Amino acid sequence: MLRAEGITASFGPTLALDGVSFDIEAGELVAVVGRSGSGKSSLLHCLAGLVKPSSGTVSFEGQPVYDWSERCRSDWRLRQVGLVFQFGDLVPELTLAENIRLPLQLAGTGKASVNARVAAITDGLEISDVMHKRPGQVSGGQLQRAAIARALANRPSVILADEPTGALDTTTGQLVLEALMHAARDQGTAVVLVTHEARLSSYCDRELTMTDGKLAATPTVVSR
Amino acid sequence: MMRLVLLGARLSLGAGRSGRLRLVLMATGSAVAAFVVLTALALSGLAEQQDVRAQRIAPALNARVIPEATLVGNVIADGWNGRELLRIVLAEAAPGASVPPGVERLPRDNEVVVSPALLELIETEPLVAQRFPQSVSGTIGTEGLVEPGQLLAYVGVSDASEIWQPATIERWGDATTTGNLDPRAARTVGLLVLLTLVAPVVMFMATCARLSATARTQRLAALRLIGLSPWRTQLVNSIELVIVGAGGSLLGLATWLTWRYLDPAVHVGTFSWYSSDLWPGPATMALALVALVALTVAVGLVGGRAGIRRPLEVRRERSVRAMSWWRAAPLAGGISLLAWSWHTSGQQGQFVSWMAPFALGMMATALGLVLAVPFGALVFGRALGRSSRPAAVLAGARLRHEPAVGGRVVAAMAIAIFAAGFAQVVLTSVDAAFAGTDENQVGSVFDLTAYGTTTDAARYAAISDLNLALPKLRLGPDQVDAIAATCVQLRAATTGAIPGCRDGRPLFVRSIQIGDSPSPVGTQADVDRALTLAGLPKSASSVDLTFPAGNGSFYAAVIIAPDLAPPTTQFTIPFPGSTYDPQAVVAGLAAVDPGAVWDSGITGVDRLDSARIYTGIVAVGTASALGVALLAIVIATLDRTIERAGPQARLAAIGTSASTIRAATALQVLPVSAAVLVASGAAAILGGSSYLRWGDPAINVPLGPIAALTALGVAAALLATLVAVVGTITRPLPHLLRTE
Repeated sequence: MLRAEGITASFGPTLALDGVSFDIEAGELVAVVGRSGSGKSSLLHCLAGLVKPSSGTVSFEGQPVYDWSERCRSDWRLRQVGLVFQFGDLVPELTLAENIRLPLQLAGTGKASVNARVAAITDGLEISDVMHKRPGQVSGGQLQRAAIARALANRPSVILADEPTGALDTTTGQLVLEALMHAARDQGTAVVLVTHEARLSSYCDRELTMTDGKLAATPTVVSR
Repeated sequence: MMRLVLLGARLSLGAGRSGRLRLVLMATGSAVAAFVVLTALALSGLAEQQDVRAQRIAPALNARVIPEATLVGNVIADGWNGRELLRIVLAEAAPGASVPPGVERLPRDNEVVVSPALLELIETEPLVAQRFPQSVSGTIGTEGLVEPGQLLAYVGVSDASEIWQPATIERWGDATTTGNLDPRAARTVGLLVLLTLVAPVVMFMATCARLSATARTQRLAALRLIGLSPWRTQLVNSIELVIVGAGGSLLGLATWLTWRYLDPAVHVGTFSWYSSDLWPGPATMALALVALVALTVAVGLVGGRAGIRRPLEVRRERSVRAMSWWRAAPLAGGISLLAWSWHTSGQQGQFVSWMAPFALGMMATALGLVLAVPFGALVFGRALGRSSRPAAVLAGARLRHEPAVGGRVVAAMAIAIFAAGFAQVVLTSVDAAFAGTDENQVGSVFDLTAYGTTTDAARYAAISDLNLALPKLRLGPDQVDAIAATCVQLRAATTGAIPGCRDGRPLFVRSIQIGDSPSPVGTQADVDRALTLAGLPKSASSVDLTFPAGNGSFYAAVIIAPDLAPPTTQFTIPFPGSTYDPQAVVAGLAAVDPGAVWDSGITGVDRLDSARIYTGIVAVGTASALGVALLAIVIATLDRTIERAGPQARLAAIGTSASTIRAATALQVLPVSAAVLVASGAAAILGGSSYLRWGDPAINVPLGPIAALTALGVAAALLATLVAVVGTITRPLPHLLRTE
């Protein structure tokens, strides 16, 4: 579904990605682990169509993502990709409900479907009671669950999550992880999870290790 | 599309107290700008409205007194403190005489109906009261005045014999009359004021449109990361800006209309107008408001580029900028051009070849003062970074991280000081051109149809205030022009010493308009031509001078001592203007020649009121620019105080002392702001020096007023620093520690 072939990316003198190749299929949950600065986030940004690699290709269902226009890539990200960052990255002026509805509305989903979809997601993530609050008014865990909800809203084909549980307690982290697993198992969403936590990796189908911008030669296969 | 519009509308409402405060500040910015621009636009159309009023109240005179006349009278121009004082003497010759506009009934013998402004003067100034010994029987209403500050009197007398040069007043209303301002000149002056105001207003608008810039950039970046394309994100941004800009502009329009309604008669110094005359027209107003909204959107779109182009960097606050050397280029280029203008103006007389680089230099300098702020902030931030003191390190880091912020705070003030400082130079030039005319006098220039016999000279000499010593003259066929001024005034007006000038001694003046001449100073050929026309030998010329450009025209003047004066008509009569009594002049003229017509004889910007009007308009422009700039500093400072709250709380959370945070805050604001404002004052001095060397080399740059303006700007920067320091967050407040 999503494939990276020999991608290289550098920021100034720093080589963030060095010929990384990797692919992920629908319904697969892949953990990307590695030390800080190893290039995990850069890989995620390249996969999301946000940072164009200096060489190599990223393709989605066989189509090279970076051959598309910026507008097409944005639209692809809106409809097919769910992004989750460590601190949520919600629009601070909007309530949680508005934030979660936003991608659905931008994608042109009808009002009734939007409400039903949002209700279903937020119930599962246990944030229904804080939906009227703005990001600055809720806890980090609630914020992150709202970000997950937003990423799931459009039923994306791919979810790219950058340390989604890094700032959360174990229980809340578990909730978030279950939501991502549910997306992968029940909706066939491909999930790429960048994490430091070995515990999270154990829930994934595969674990890829990044070292100095390179992917470990043999992906670790994790048993469920 | 509709969803994007709704999203933009939703985002424009902001969130939380700080969000709403910023929304109010942004809308206020647009409102103030709309108010100022509408006023400036309306001022340029004010002259037409005042013309209509002047035409409505002017008496249509028939020079002869006809038997069937019902009303006879005459208009006598008088003055007070450089302001025109019109005295219309009336005698009812038969029943049924028409009443002047704004007057309930005609004044009877020994009665006077005065304008409210004149009544106030009569009550407060004994010298004015002496001129109106009649009893005041009423005041003139609004419809009978050109402006609320107009000095106008209808003096009643018993019959025509008491009127100097009586004429039949056929009706009230004369389409050939003009108001105090020549519409064309007023439009020009209004346009100049608008241009002077445009820069600070644009900066102000930019300041307001960039309020909450950090939050908005973050928001745009978040939208981009969700999957909104750059174009759609800009659309959301535009809609948000349109709503705020349009809302603010409409608020400004409403305030402006309310002001017009609540204050029907506006006085600014000696400058006054009726609010009903201040109306630029619906099309102009609509265009201005649309332009202001467009400006808000443009500034906001430019300001939001980082969030749209580099959303990841913005969300992670990695948008530290590299040193942008090009930002210093406009200032360096502008200063270089001004220095070149200063250097070459003394040698180069060409208007276009000098003025074009000079104007370019002024514009580049103004732009450069704004653009150079981030550059200066980066340089200063780097310097602070070398320090070991925590406050300096923190301030340096912040300046390097957000170098453009300082520009948002002081840009409007920097432009205002530069523009206002230069305006002071122009004012000084104008003042010199009209030197002495703001004394208690009227008609430093007046026309006489005839004078010149020995008897006349004796009669003139009897006028103590004039103290003339006229030579024996014969009347010539041409119209006689006499300029009454002191030698000091003449020297100022002609920008040079006049040989043979002595107060009270007539000097022959032959002026040649040389507006079409390629040379602005007049050539020897011009002088020779003038002398030939006057029937004088060419060697008779004593001075070849140019009247300055202050009145908008160029004249080559040949001034000749009386012993060589031709038997002709034009004379300069220098006398001390400060003791000049216009009534004595009127009496003296009437005694010398009953057929003489005394008239201030000047129209448009050449009119006696010109200095007052120029001064008034420039003063209004300067005050508005500084006011707008001060407001911009206050608003931007408040905005920055809100923006700094989070980082300051985080500093407090890691144990940074309150004094260190405050010191870091002060270091971020004051040095760069003060340096830019002082540079603005210095640039104004350089620009002014260049201008004066070209136009008025005898005049010095008014360093005092420019220094005062600069000091005002630095005081504003100090105020901004104080506000920032007082508003410093020194405690780790939980709600500010959130990253969202």
